Amino acid sequence: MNKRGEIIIVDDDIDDLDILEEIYNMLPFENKLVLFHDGEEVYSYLKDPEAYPFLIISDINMPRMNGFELRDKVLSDAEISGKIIPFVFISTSADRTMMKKYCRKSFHGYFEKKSDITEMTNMMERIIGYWKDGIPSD
Amino acid sequence: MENLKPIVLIDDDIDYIDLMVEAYGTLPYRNKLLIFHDSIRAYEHLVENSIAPFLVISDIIMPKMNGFELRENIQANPKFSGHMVPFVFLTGAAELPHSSNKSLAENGFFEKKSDFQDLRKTLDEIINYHYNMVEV
Repeated sequence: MNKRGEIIIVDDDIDDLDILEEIYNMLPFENKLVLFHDGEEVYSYLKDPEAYPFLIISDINMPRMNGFELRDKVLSDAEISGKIIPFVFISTSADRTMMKKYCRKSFHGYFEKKSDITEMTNMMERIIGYWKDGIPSD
Repeated sequence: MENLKPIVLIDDDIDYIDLMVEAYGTLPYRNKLLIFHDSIRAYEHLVENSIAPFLVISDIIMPKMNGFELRENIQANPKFSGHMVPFVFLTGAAELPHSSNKSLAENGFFEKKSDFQDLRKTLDEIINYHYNMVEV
């Protein structure tokens, strides 16, 4: 785990991405924020051996490669999965059936996007703060 | 919706379990605590009673079955398929955390705090994070 690494947010909804960026900039964290629009972009980014982000926050429903597919790709790549990057899903519609199928796999949280900015800000702060306060594992 | 499934605490150090229970008692959560000093008993109890807990907070180094093995056994048991059973590990400074099996979920490693207020804050943060997750 690289606590000083970048925080990656991936979402195909540009408005949501803008809001998440604005929210992040209000938070007291120093990690660089890197934004992506779909899973494939994130996967190519992670393929770079130099890439070692701190945390990935991913939407689920995205074109080309969705959040689950991205997580599977990361897990099947020994080089990337060996880095232990916490992987947290955020989604607008909490699809429990879909999550039930997926929940035996390895991921580190599943949160519902909030329409209220204050609630969303608190949630982002809690998610990032949680992983900051833990002991980095490798 | 408030998730009232039990929270499982496992540590072979009885004094530390007592401290955790006391710290939990000062927090506003109402989940029942299931407390185990022995990870094999914890596993048997959860399986026999088909209890998929809200959260497991476990020590790593324990006799017979360590924390990682416990997690693997629970997550591999068909009784718990379709349930997300998050595991958070508490560990002393001397035990360096490492992941034994990368395809299994563990929701973080936290330092075992000996100071009561620090422990209380750590437990609050761990439970709060999982409370805010979507219940699956």
